[in-house]
Amino acid sequence: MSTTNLISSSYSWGQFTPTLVLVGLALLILIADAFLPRLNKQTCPILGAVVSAGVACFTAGSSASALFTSLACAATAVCLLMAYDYRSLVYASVAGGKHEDGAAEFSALPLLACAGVCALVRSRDLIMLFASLETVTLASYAMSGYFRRNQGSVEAGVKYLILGAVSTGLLVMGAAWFFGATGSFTGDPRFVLAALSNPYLSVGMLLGVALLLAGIFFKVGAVPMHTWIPDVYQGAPTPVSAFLAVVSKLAGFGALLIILLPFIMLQTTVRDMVHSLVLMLAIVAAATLLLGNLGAIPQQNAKRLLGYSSIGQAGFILVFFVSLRSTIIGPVFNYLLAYGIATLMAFYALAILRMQRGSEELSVFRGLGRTNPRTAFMITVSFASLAGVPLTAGFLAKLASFQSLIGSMGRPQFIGLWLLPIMIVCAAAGFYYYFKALRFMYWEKPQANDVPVVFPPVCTCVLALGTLLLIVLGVTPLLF
Amino acid sequence: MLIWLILIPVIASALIGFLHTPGRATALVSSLLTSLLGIGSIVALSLGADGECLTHIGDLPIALTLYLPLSKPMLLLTVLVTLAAVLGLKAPDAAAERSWSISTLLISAGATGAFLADNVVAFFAFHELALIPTFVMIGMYGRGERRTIAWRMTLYLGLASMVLLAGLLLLYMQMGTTRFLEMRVMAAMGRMPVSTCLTAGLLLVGFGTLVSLFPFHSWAAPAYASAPTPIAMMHAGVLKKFGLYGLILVTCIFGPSCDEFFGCWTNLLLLLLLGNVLWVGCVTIAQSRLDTMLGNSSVMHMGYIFLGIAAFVTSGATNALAYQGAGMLMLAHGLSIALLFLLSGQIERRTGTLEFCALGGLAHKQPLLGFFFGLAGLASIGLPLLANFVGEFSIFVSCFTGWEPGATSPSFCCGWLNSLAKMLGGLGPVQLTLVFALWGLVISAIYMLRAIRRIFAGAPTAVCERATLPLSFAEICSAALLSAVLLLLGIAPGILA
Repeated sequence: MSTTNLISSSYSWGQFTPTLVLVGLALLILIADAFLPRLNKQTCPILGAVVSAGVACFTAGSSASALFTSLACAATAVCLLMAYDYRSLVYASVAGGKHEDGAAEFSALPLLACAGVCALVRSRDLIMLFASLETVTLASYAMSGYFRRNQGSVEAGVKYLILGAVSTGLLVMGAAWFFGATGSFTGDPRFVLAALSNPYLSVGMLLGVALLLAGIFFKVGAVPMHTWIPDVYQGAPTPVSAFLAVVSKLAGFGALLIILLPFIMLQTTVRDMVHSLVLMLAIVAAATLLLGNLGAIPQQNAKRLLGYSSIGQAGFILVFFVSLRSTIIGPVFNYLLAYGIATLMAFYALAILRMQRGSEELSVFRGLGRTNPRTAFMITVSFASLAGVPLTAGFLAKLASFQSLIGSMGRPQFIGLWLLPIMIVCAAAGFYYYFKALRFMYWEKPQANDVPVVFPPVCTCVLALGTLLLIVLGVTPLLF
Repeated sequence: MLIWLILIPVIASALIGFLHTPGRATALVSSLLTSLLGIGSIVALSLGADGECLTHIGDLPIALTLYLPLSKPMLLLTVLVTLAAVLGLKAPDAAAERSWSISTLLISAGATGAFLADNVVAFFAFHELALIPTFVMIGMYGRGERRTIAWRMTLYLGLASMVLLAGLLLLYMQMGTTRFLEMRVMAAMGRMPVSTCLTAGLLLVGFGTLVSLFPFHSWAAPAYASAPTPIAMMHAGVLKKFGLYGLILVTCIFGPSCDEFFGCWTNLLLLLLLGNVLWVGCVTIAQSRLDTMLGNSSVMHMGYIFLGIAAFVTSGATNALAYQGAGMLMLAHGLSIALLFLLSGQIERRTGTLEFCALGGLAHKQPLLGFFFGLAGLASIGLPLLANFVGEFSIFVSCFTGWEPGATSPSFCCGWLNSLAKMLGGLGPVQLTLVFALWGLVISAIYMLRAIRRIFAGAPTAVCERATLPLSFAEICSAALLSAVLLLLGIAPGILA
């Protein structure tokens, strides 16, 4: 067996330019932080945001990996801007506000994680996939526990680390079984087919795929690997929660696509195997939908609510995978785009509210409709898009999810329409819990001592841009 | 061209919201423009104008059309009620005036889009756009238990929307096209959905809940009673017709095979609509406040329109009288209930209460108000020469169209109903339902005439003595506009065609 079967040999340095740029910048920031004591720490997140936004523009393209890279870089840029507006809390938590040592790391870590995502979506074998996914995860551990003086943040970091380590173990184990059964890390359909035609090897490969998926489910927050999400989102610094909710989820779905690719290509040949895979995905999707959406209903903490909601949204994305077709890449990306924009907006607004009103409960939204009507409108659009209200991008994304299920009716791997009522209930539950924030904004009067919240210009610009994007993406496809 | 019917209100509400232009004045200009444009395009179409120029912008087929069944009367209803709602709008303060104007305009834009959309997705999306301001306005400015009421409505309609969305998706993915006009062509070529029963059931429950079909009606009356006047007018008058419009649209798409499409659900619909007419009718009699009475009466009258739809469906979409009757009653009910809510708002502003026990003898102080209320009340119970009568009468007659004594064997699922029907001269399900539903006329006469007597007749009570504020010019205009159209359609229903 030649080494070309072990890992893919078709990588070129050119593909990894975005990764190299981001890693280089992250290292530069770390070195500057260590050796330039007079460095103004506030420039770090801005520099990182500008560079990653630049990378997002340069890598834009129509291929799946280009789309995922751009989205990840753009989301990282927004998270860094959020970190810039969040700086006073960062400084306060790192060294009690006395000095700014170590604050620059907070900008370098997202860049490293984003570099991991850029490499991940270009990986063609499990080794590369594992290495890049671990880059994302390791940076995320450090980020979520970054506020060392804050008990919640440390708890989030430890929880994430322990559960993440388990999932990493599962992933490695899965890769090993997969390699053992197929003799290759590349997931080449020929090797997969050869393994499946042998009864002994096929069992091993199925086990390998199941373990791989379990590892990935941890990243996307699918049941039963979802337990970390609400706790970590609640405990981690808000920009980090936003990063985990968008970029990390993006990485997970990118990896899921890569792992499932051979089965999408083989589905007409090995029907039984694919059918059991589809059934498993459908059950996971149903459980994720129910747990995420129903779990979000009683939440009072806004970050926890967004955490559960991100589990629920992952359920809607998993429904795409149930149809197991190569055409799902577009809709999955659209869903992640709509979800990413709206989630970043929600977290950004929440970060500002957290700083000025000192709370993360849903009640921080109270009376915004009267004190800050324009910002309240923009937050409304983001929550409406998450809930799937028509004329926003989120609606078309959810619609596509329903469509992909109904559209696979009559196909040989169709698992039946039983998922449909679950989706209906969950989408309706979404209206309930997302609108809870809107209730606080519009139905509650501001308290006597509430002053209008000052949204920094960067935040207002990001929110305005996001609102515009959500509406444009939600309206234009209807007109044509 | 038609796209401006949606763009004008959206632009106007953006102006009010972001540039703080005067709320009512901006809304008035916008609704006058849309009324002229809407009526103009209906007239132009009926005069044989080239419909293509109305439905296309350049090379892009915009998903709006006036060629769908009932989209013309529904457009007329929307622009008229919007104009009346804006004319009669009277908010407690400037901020409320702005938000009420914005909501009225957005509901109007959404309803127009839904009634003109020739595309499943736009059809659904525009309706949802119109629903959101309703929730927000009831939650912010509603009367009584506003939060509970608005929340219940949000949940009911949110769930209904999702059920409806699933039904519409099933429909279009099985028909292979998103456009209604193309679906009709496909259905005429014999294409039927595979899972007919599921699709029809989802559509019926989804649309039905939006129209407050019994037993999914409990959100409606409290919401209308609680909503600010213009919002109640827009929702009860215009937006609720969306579900009925959708059911008729689906029926027309399947044409002769619609009976097969709805299949088993038709009999259930007949049973449920009796719940609307009789059960909710009795609930309406028991109300002690004008606003909840009007809300319940609106739910009750939906039963008749459902009856028209059922007659239309069972005839295989050939019963033109049922179709016209349902369309006319949708228009007439929209106008009359909007007028009633408008007047109820004016009564409350003058007397400060809507409790029947506190009101009395208001006609002495407010003769004009009494006249308009009497007219609207009589219209809503179906007095001849008013538009509602034309609609109700057409529906009642249409139930017996094509029916001959003993010609058709009754087809109920249980035996004793069959024998009962045979005893009654071979009545079919639709005819039998009509026999029961006719009692609704008596019920609505009871509550409406009693309301008129309690509010306007007799010696003035203490609160009515103080109600001396005369109707303003705008208020008279707004009430007169709706009354005039009700009368016009009642005397000359033919002009609609």
